[in-house]
Amino acid sequence: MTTQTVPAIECKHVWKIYGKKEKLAHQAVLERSLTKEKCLETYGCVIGVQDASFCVQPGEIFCIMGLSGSGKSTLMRHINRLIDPTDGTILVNGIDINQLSEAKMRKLRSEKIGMVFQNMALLPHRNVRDNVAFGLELRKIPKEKRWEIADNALELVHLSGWGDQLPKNLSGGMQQRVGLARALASDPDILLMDEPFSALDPLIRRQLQDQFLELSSKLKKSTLFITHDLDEAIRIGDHIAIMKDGVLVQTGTPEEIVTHPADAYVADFVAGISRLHLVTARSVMYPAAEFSARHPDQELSHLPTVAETDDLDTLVELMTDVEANRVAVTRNGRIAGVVTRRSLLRGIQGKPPERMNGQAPAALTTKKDTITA
Amino acid sequence: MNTASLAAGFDNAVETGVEVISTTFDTLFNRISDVIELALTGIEQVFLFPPFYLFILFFSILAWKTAGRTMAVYTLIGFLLCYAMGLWEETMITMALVVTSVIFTLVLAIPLGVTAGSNRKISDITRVLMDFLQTMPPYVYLIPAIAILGFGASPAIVATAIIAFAPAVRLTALGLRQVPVEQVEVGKAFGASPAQALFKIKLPAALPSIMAGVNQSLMLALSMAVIAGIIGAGGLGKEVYRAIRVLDVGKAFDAGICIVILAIILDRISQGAVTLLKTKGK
Repeated sequence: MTTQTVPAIECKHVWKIYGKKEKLAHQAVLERSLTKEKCLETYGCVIGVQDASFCVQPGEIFCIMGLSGSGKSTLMRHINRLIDPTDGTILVNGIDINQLSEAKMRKLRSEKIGMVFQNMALLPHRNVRDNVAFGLELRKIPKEKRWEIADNALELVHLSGWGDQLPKNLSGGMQQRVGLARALASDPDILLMDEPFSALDPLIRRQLQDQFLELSSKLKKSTLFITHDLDEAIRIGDHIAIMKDGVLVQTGTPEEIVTHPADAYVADFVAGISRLHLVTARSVMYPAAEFSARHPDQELSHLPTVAETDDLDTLVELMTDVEANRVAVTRNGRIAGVVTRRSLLRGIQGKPPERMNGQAPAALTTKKDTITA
Repeated sequence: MNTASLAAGFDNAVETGVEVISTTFDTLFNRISDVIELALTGIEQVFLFPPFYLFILFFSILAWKTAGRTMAVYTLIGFLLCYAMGLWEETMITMALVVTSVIFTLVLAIPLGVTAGSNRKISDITRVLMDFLQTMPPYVYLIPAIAILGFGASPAIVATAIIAFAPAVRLTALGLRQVPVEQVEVGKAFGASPAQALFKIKLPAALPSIMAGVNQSLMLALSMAVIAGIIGAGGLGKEVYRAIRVLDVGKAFDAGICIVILAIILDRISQGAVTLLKTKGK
């Protein structure tokens, strides 16, 4: 397989500026690197999204994380052209959607893109089944057929038998599952999820996250998932982009974001995140040669071992179980390094192991670093 | 030129305007008059054709379904009272007048309201127009209506329809503006065409507000249908007017009571329908 896969969604330098003089303001920002405040002052324009570029690969879940007002919902609404960009290109399955006619765009929305809304946005005058079948109804699919599909979609989200109820009779969590079923009913390639679980209480939220992950691993929809909750982004996302004031400040895997925050803002966010399941043994080990030079008396082959890709949780478990102070880390079956209690504890704190030869500590390494190296 | 002659000039312009319109489009207005009267006669027949007790029974059941048991009992007793006072036919004629005018009004008002609800500019223009229609004293509409359509039921219906017009437009427009943004977004996101978005999302969401407009129209139409007794519309208005001329206090009072009964029944049933629609959604 040498053919490159086409990304499900690709955004290239997307700008959205609100205001009457958006084009002028855009020019000015590009040429004179105008600040947001200056832009508002001189042109009366508000910058919603600033030069956003990212790629969602087929089948992956891509999270955009940011606080309210950071522009993440605005950015998402460009993908199905609920909002037109001021500048930039948006490709869906390789097609530039801003070149499409209204009719073609409607077809793309109804067949290829499903959307889930933060406040469920079910239509209150329709029963659950007709809500789920709404997209199919717009496509004029006959009643029997669309009801059958709707009932199947309801089964996917464990709501069989609720079809005849009105949305108001369902709890918030159930309503959002109906919202998910509605998005899945037309079997789209792409799911857009706009803070789908944010309005729910924590316990239900976690249940729905689990259900969604299970469903997602089965259906393999390319998903753009928006959240203001970093824990959620880390739990769900294959890749995460952090958004602040309209700018994507960092894009990477959850582990990259946590171990290599791009700036103080991201670092602040990830400070409270548990690293137990995110950081791997490789990141907290001393290289075997370095360790042996310092502790020549330690016979490495006698130590209990973990693979370099095992997470910190595994290490903690091993160390507490067998009361080992040191654990050997293997790469391709050979011992590559050693984790001590000290380096493990530092790793949990988010610090790299200090150098045994007195050099300044290197940053924590991640899966991706070694793969690309 | 002083202000008095300016005002006289304006009055003259209005008078000649109405006159010119009525003479130039004489045949057209005769046709319109025929159509209106035909519609009225048809609806009158529908109300008067069944025996009064069947009609009362039907309305009591309707009241039960929309406004509850108390209202059903009230409808039953109220309509029986109208019958007992010997004003059954007049009550039905007035109701036919009201229903006919409201139908004519809604056919024009709802599309206008929908347009105003989705377009800022049209909304601004209609608002001024509706202010004008609503604040103009109702009697003023009677004279041009007679001038254009002649004496009888059709000018009464036109004047009544004009009076009932504004609330239907306003509340339809309001209902459309109040459709939740996210519901409109759902329509777009799932690929709805503008027509589909209107009929499958906006109108159902605006229905309670539209029905509230219908309720207001009904009430205004009833009061105007009575006033229109002066220009030859039949029914309770004619009865009141006749009783006033001969100073028959008793008969005037009887007719007045029938109007109150009819007003309450029409109001509660249409309001009940609004409540039903609202509770169905939320």
